[in-house]
Amino acid sequence: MTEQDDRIRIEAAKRDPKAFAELYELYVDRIYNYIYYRVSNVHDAEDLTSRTFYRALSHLQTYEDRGIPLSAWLYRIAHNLVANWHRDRGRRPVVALDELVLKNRDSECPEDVAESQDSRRFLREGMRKLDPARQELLVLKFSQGLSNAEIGAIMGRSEGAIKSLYHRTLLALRKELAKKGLDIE
Amino acid sequence: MAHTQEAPRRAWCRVRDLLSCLVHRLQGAEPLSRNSQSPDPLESAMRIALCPVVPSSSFREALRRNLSFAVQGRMLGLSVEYAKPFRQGIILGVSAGLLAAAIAALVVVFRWRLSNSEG
Repeated sequence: MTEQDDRIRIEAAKRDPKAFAELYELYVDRIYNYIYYRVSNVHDAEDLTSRTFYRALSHLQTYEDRGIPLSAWLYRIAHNLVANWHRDRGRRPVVALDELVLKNRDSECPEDVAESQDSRRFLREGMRKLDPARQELLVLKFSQGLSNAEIGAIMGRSEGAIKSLYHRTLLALRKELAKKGLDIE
Repeated sequence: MAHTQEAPRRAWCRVRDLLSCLVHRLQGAEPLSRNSQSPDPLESAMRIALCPVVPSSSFREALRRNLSFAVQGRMLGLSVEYAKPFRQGIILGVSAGLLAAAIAALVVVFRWRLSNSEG
């Protein structure tokens, strides 16, 4: 989707409720997915996804095209809400995701029916030991499949900075996994 | 102790199994890293660990409906606010409070009648 498309959609959504519904349909899955992996539970993921779209709706009139795509704007709203959520909780998520993922029947990942969830649990636990910015980068990269440039737009950093952060993140993650006895080469 | 060392090893074996499956699936797909032709095992493992999940259809539909009402309200000049759904704990707490108040009221009435009948 181009920036021109974004602008057209935003302008339409300001005037027409149906156009906002289109925006919602386009982004709800991605925003939910992002939030889910940042908070680790379905209840809060649903709550924060709702808040994200309500906030987007209430700020739609004041939204100005400042060179960031609409998707990045929505991710930033979600990011701020997640950050507040973590601050209010005063803790990092510790709930095991595995059971929740298994309960999600709409999941598109065929590995959900694999005989064991252990490997994923280890990886996620390793990820949660990283600082929030690195966790966010991993979620955007692997769960959302975004490029470094797209991640940079969301996190407010240059593409080069994201690339550098990504390499440091992988090194840190390897170190965390090595502590658990997993040596991934 | 042996058990705790065995668990990560077993998990890693499963990661390797999953990776071998994934390598076949990723053939033809966009590489994770632009610099490498074959995917880094850690990157592949993370892609599996963070596989896409989607919201339940009931949540999706309810939010779409609520947003639609909010948009219509906005068109009428009403403010748009997200009403956080009551948590089960709050509902239980309020219910328990109401029940306690009702019992207390019954006790007071009963005692008042009792004292009247004695008087």
